[in-house]
This record gives sequence, C-alpha cells and structure tokens, in this order.
Amino acid sequence: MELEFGSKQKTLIGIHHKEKNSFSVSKKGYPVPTDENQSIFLLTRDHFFSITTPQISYLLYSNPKYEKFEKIKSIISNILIVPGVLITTAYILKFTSLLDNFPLILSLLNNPFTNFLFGISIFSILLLWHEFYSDRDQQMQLPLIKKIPQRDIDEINTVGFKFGRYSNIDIAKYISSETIQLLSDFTLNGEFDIYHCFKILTDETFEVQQIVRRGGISIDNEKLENSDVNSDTLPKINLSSIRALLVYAVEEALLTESKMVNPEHIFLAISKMYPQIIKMFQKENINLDIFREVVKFQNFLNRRKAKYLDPDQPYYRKGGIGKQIIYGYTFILSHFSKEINKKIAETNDIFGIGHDEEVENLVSVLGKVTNKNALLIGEPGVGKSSIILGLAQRINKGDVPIQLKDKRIIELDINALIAHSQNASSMEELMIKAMTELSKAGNTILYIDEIQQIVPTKAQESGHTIAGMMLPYILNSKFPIIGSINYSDYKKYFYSNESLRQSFTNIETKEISAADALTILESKIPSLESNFNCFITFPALVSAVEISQRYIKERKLPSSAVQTIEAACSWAQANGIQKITSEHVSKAISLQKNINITEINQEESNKLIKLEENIKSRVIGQDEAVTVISEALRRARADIRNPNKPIGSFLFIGPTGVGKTYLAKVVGEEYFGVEDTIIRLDMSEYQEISSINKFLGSSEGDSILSQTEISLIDRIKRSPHTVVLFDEIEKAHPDILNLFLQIFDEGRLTSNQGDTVDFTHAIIVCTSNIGSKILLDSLSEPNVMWEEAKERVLLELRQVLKPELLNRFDDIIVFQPHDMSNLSKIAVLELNQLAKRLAEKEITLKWTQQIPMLIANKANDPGNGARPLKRYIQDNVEGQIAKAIIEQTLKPGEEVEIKESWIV
Amino acid sequence: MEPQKIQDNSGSQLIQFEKTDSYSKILVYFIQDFLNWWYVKMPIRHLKILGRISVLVDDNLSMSLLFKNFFVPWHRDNSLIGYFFGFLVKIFYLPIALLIYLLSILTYLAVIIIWLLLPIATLVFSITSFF
Repeated sequence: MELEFGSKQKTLIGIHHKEKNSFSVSKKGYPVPTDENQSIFLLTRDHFFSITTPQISYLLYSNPKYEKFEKIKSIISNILIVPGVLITTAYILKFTSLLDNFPLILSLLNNPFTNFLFGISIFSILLLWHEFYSDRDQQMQLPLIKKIPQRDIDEINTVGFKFGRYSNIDIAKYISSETIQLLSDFTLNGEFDIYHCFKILTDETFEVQQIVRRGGISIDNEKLENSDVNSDTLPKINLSSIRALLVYAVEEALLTESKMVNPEHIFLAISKMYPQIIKMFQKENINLDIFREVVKFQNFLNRRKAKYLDPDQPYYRKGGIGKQIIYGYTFILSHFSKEINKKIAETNDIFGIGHDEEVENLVSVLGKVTNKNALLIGEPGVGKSSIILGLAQRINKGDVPIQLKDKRIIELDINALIAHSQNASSMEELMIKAMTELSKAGNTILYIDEIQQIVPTKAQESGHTIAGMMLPYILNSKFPIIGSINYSDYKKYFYSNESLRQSFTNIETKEISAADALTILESKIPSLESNFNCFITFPALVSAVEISQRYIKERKLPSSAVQTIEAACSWAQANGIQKITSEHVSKAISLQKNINITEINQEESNKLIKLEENIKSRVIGQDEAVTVISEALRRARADIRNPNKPIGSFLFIGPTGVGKTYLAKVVGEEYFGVEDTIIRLDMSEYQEISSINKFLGSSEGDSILSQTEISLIDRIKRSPHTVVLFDEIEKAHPDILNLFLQIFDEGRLTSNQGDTVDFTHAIIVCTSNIGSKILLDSLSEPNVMWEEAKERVLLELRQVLKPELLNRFDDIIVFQPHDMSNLSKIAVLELNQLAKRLAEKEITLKWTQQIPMLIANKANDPGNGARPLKRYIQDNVEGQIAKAIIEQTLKPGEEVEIKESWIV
Repeated sequence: MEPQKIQDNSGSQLIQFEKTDSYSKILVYFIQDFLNWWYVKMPIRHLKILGRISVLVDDNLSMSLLFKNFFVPWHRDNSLIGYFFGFLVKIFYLPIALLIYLLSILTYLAVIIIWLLLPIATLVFSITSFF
C-alpha cells in the first residue's frame, strides 16, 4: 500500500518557446533545455515563478566580488574591536583611579587619535551588528502553496495559461546566499559542473548529509559509480540549463515548505533532473517524496521557538496573573478531575494534527450561546483525545475566539468521582457541589472521556445515574461540556436517550490520512530517539504507517502507527540496534503479531516456490485445487494482491471424504506456519435467521448467553491471520449468506455492536456437497467424462446458490472423488503417520507394496471418500499393533510388519 | 583579469564580467543598505517590538482584563465580602501595574532613541575628538 504524500498536484512545470511564442506544460519528467530560446517556469495555484539568464549571470558573477567585499569588511571590523576593548578597559581603570601611576597611558587616553579610534571601533561594532542581523533577518519568504484545482489544470491543458491570474515571483530574490555561493563555486566560463556540485553536496554539505542519513542511506563513490552517476552522465550545463535547475530547486523549496532556496533544494533538483540518481535511490527503496519529508522535518526542527518579543510571530493573550482572581474556584471538582491546559503547557508535542476540521467545529460549537455541548464520535484510536489536547493548546496560545479565551478544560475522572464519593455524604451532593462550582467558575469547559460511563454509573444510595444528575446542567448550558464516545456506545447509550442526544452537537472524528499520521510520527522523533537512545530513519516511519494501515486494522491511525513505531523502537533497543530502518519495523511487528510481513528472503522464496509441491505431497488427488490455492498464496506473499479483500476466497465442491477440509487445514499450516490455525464453522448450524448472532455477536447486551458465546467476529478479532472454513455453505440461511458478499468484496464485516472486523488477512474457504452424486456417478460410469460431470455440478450449484455470491469467489474448485490409485496413496500417507507415531515408541513399522493397495481395496466406499480408509487402518492395523503392545509380544526396539491376514 | 563573455547558444552576449558591479558600486550599495537598515527597517521593527511589549506587559499584568472585570467579585464569590475584596485588590493592584507598564514602555522608547542616535553620535564623537 503506497503512502500518499502531499506533494501531488501542487506545482506545474511550464515551457516557454520564445521563437514560437508558445507556452506548454511539461508532461514528461524534468526537461533541461540548453537553448536560450526555451525557458522553464513554475506555476502554483496562485503564483508564477521565473528567472532570466542575465539574472543568473549577475548573481553568479557579482557574487564573488560581494563575497570578497564582505570578507574584507568583516576582517577590518573585527580587528577594530581590539583597540576598542583596550581603550574601554583603560577608561574604566582611569575612572577607578587605577591608572594614576601610569601617566603614559593617561596621556594616550587624552590623545584625540585615541578618541577617534574608540569612536571608529564602536562604529565597527555597529557594522558587525548589521552584518549579523541583516543575514538572519530575511524579509523575503517563499509562500505556502496549495493544491491546484483539477479544473484549473484542465483549463491550462485545453485553453492555455492565463498569466493575469497569477502573481509573478522572481526566483532570484529567494535564493539564499549559501546557494548562490554554491552555484558560483561550480560555474566557470558560463558552465556549471553538476557532478562535482552533487559530490560536494553529498560529501561536505551538512544539511544534505543530515537528509541522506535520515533517509536511511549513504552515498559514496562506489555507489555513484555502480549507478552510473559520473561526470559523463551528469554533464556540465550552460546558463540556460541553470535556469531550469533553479526552477526545479524553487519547486522543491515550495514542496518542502521552506522559506528560501537552500543547497538541499539544489540536491533534490539535481536528483530529479537525472534518472540515474533516482534509480540509485530506488535501489535502496527510497524516493524523493521521502527526502522531501525529511527536509520538512529538518525545517520543523530548526523552526524557532516562540519568542514573545518577536513581532513577526503572533502573540496570543493568556490572561496573566489577574486571570485567576476573576474566575471562580473549583475546589471540590479538583478532587476528581485534572486540568488539561496545565498538562499540555508542559510538553512540546503538537496535538490535533490532521484534525483541523474537527477542532474548528469544536471551537464553533463551544462558542455558541445555547446548546454549547459537543460530542466527539469516532472509532477507538482515531485521535478524539488529541482533538481535546489540540483545543487546549490553541486556548493556551490564545488562538481561539473571544468566547473561549482563558478557558480551562477540566477532564472529569469518573472512577475518581466514585472513589471520592465513598468519603463524601452522597454522590448526589458531591455532584451538585461540583456542578455549582463549574457554573460559577465562568472559565471552564468540562471534558468527559468515554462519556457513556455516566449513563449506567449510579449513586449507591439513591440509584440515580450520573447522567441523570448532570442532565439539568447539560440542558441549561451554563458551561460547555465535551464528551467522547465510539460509535457502538453512542448507538447503545445516546441514540435511545432523546434528551441526551438533543443536548449535544455531534462531531464525527474521522481517521486521519496516512500523510498526517506520518507528520505525527515525525513530531515524535525527538522524544522517541531520546527515550530509546536510537536513530529513526524516515523509511522506518513510512513503513510504520503503511504496516499499521494494512495489518493493524483493529486500531486506527494515528494510534496504530504510533504503537507500531514504539514497538519497533522497543524491539530495536532490546536487540542493541541503534539505527531503525523499515526492515526493523517489519521484523518487530512480524514477531509481535506472529505474521510474516518482512521482505521475502531466499529461504522463504524457496519455500514459496515449493509450496505447491509440499501441499501436493500431503493432499492426494486434488492437484487442480492445490495449484489454484498455491497461486493465490504466492500472490499474497509477493504483496501484489488487492489489500482490501481476503487473501483468497474459494468454494470447494465435492463428495464427503475427498479432502476439502483437510486441504484447508494444510493450507493454513503451510501458509501461516501454525498448526490448528483454522476457524471452522458448520453452516448447518446456521439454518435459522436467529443464528446470525452466532456470526455477528449478540446485540442483546443483557443476555447471559450472548456474553459467554464466542461469535465468528470474536474469533477473527482474536486471530485475523487464519483460514476460515465454512462447511456445507448451502445449508445456511440465505440472509447469512448475504453477509459473505461484504466479506468477499470489502474484506470486513460489521458486528451487531458496530465493530468492524477485518478479514483481509484471512483465507476464506467454503465447502459444499452439492452435486456429489453426479461426481460419484462419474466414477462408476466410464461414459461420463469428468469435465462433463463438473459442468453438471456447477449447473446444479447455480440453482442453489445466488450468482452474486458465486461470482465473488476467487475460484470454485470441484474435488475429484478418489479412485483406487488415490486411495492407495492415502493409505501410504496414513501408514507413514502411524509409523511415525510408533517410532516415538521405538517400534519400527514395515509393510509390503501390496498392503496399501489391499487396504484401499477393502476400505473403498465411493460415497464416503477416504474416511472409511482411515477407520479401516485404525480398526485393523492399529488394533493389531495395540493388542501386541499390551500383550507385550511387541516391545520397544522391535520391528512389526503388517500382515496380509490383518486385512480381511 | 581577462574579461569573461557569457554567451547563450545563439551566440548573443548575455553579460560581461566588467559589467558586473564594481567594488566602488558595491561600497555605495553597502552604505545605502546600512543606512536603510539602521534608519528605516530597524526603527519600524523597534516600533513593532514596542507595540508587542505593550501587549505583553498588559497581558501578563492582566491590566485590560481587570479593568474590564472591575466590578466582578473576588473568585466570582457573589457575597458582600467577595465584592468588597475584589474591588479592594483591584484598587491597590492596578496603579502598580500601570506604573510598571509605563516604565517598560518608556525604557524601550529610550532604547529606540539611543538606537537612532548611536551611529551619528559615534561619528560625531570620532570627528570632534580632533577639535
């Protein structure tokens, strides 16, 4: 599952042909025109970026002179500070009368030249001041860009550019002095040496080295040579081409939300201009999007901390020392609550990432005059608490409307309330006092996590629920209340309660995007690295998000991704690994979840190639079925299957005893590597519609039966990596069969309680005995061809099961009834297993070649497949051996041969 | 130094090395830039900082907040004592806060004046030292 980064459709590269006076959009890669008549420009939603060749020439050729001037100025200014310091010291000593005995120094101090030197020295400090601050105080900053609407792109492609609607930005003004220096250093006689510039960037430029390291790779001479990155493939380019390079660099600066075009953007621009560099990165499983994220992350780290005196940064009023005295106390409430604003002020983390819309909604609900209660509804782990923390952070900053200024978010701890009520006279009294405090305080927002708890929690004495006690306060909206709840609890506790439902404005909390989840992980890098003493590469973060999306369906982003990266860090620490890569994340989660999500190694590759062979050696006579299943499993492991569907869904048809269930079991063992991994449901138990509860779990919460019974949903939740076998599917109620459509199509099923259960890591096998008679008859009637019998069975199947269900199976496999040759092979397998069991008792079992054939012949019962054969071996062979062991005629270390006389 | 001629593909001359800025021009640019920074950009910035200091001090000392809620009782205790105590505290506190506020503003105004005088004063000091 590829992670969608946010860089798509934000920029367009345009080409201007001067001679034809035409403008077009570059559709293929990144052209590097060498002709002055062609120029490259960049378009964003609102801006149009360009640079001219004379501008570049001016920058490159004037720059050395400016550099030289600056250097001389700086040296002179620094030298002039020395006499200034000496003269200042002498003045101080003179005023403290310590120089009275040094007339020479005193006379020097009275010399007008000394005073002149002192004045000049002070002036040199002013010059250095100017030099230092004018460098840092960059007035020009690249704008933040937004996605270009599709209709604008369509219009450009059909009608052409309408330059009037864009503001033109001159790229030359946004190139940092370091970048000009870099370009200037590698330009000689109008030619820019791309290769050596790239080498310097990767070998010596600190920012680029940081980015490459964080990207989890290294770039050395050997790698460059092996990837055909050399001075021949990266030729020297002329000034017209440098123009393209700068346009691509400014594109990178915009995509990475940087303020200026810096050397790291030149590195990214060169990388994308030359496919061999991209290929070199791809070999190490890294792409430019990841590097862009790294640059963004570096910008985030370098971002200045809020400086209150910096007028360029917004200042939010916090209320100051007098804030406390104009708001009421919450003495009683403080015993069973905590203030979120205080907690949040102590951390540097950013909360509410990816939930801007929900936070905005919450702010607008809380700012209302009436009905200012909000209910955050969402799946567990989607970040409901993070929204509250994000709101608290905004209140702390003061970045909220006037109604919410200076508000405190107080989280009610219901367990602490119950505990505290044991010491108080009654819970009612406690609650009334706390609510009165809240009403009076005037600056509080009450937050109740898992708000459904207030509905069933009752006061011991009166039996009143907390919800009942709070209802008057909820209704009169004296103070805002925020609750958080998941869908199933909302349905259970709120949906049926009209007054509660009406008092809250619902805010649906959706799972955040993978890109937002990545941003959250990025913000956690500093704390994770210091906590686990490790270095986290970006591919590891990307991998954590992808794995969470794909394999941890029981939790949502970002919670699942945070847990994944923490698990990987913890695992790495335990194994002494300091640099965490994507492989380490896969490995840690593979071990934790007992599934295989690592890259396919040689050993496993051999195993997958031999998968079909291995299954065939265990399942006799069903080669077609084995081939189909093996292909599906290989597809799944190679990661090319549809990730939103089960690994495979198969319908096995055939008479009893042909190995349908056995094949499903073997597949589970071979693929998941665990014995008894199969979940088996006998569909004859699901003939009534009421049995749907066994499938989906009961919606009747009070029934004792429903609380103890384990539904299919529960079993899948417990072990999602499994084979699910639905036996005799045709016997199930048609409404239950309809549930299969959702499983096959979307790889999930929603329980009666509203939980969604994931089937995308399961192999679904349904079996049916439909058409068994036709298949068995085909054995005894030599005139009936197998293919013909199969056709007839499938025809019969279509009459029993709905076509929409049948069409959703990956494959419908008809199992052949066993003939004598197959039964004989099965007999050998069974005897081998018996021999293995006896070998544990140090008894060797032997038999002649005729024995399996004899057993097959005696146990042949066409209606029952291989089952009678197993029973026959049990009764006649195992029985005889058991008797001999008990009579002590057969002892450990001895041999026993199956006699023909046993097969009667 | 051999003058370098930068040409495009068609051979037309784009720039000549001698046409780039001379050192005298760079010096003039520098003086212009320095004066612009010291006497235009920085005073504007200083005035913005002064505005920020005004907001910051007012916020931290809760002056506007207390003026707005002058008649709100102490910790919203709507009793006679609450009203009295709240009123009393504000009567004593606000003049002190106002004094701190004015001192902060005046101090920074002094800094701005010193800033503006500094280059001229230094040059005047240097030149007058000979007379």
